[in-house]
Amino acid sequence: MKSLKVIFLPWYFKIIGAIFFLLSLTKLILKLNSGVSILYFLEFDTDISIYSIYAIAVLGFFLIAFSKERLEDELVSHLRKKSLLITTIFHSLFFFVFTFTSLTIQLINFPAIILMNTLFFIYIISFHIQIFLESIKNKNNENFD
Amino acid sequence: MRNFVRDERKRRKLKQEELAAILKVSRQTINAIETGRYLPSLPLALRLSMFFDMTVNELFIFEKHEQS
Repeated sequence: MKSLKVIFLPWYFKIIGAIFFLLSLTKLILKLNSGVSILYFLEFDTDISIYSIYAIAVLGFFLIAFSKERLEDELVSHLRKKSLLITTIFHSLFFFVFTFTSLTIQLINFPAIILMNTLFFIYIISFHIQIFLESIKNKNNENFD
Repeated sequence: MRNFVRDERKRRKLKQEELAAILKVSRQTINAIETGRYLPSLPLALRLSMFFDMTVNELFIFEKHEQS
């Protein structure tokens, strides 16, 4: 996993990523407040402002997903690998559901940038849940330290 | 897989943080190894055994039922 460390960004890119994500979230809330239906967000090919919300979010998620932890050791690498597996399983299930049901035609029209967002989102969530669970288990074992 | 990392660390009156700093890993990693939640990589297992002046076989016990 040592070679993988090289391609990761420094840890502070997580903060920059979070700022990008908050920016897109703010734009989303502002757009929703202007009276746009939530379904409109799936049909944005004519509205560049909707596209920019996804684009900023995907950039934010990318920076969060590919930034190092403050101490990037082999346990973190192990959790990253587990998260990648979880992400692959969830995304495959997503595609299976769409492929073997009447929703197939909707997948064809589904914007790729939304799929990118969900991919990064599942990865970030599963990775940080695992880091959180590790820290809880760690605290539970502090009594034996 | 059992291991004697916790016993050996305590024998040397080291805290998890101290051992982690020596081995350049996080405290969570040491804790996860000690509780058996995580099996260290071969380089880390070797570094642990070298630090405790033991062989890997002495530090990590592979139980018979795990062979199957």
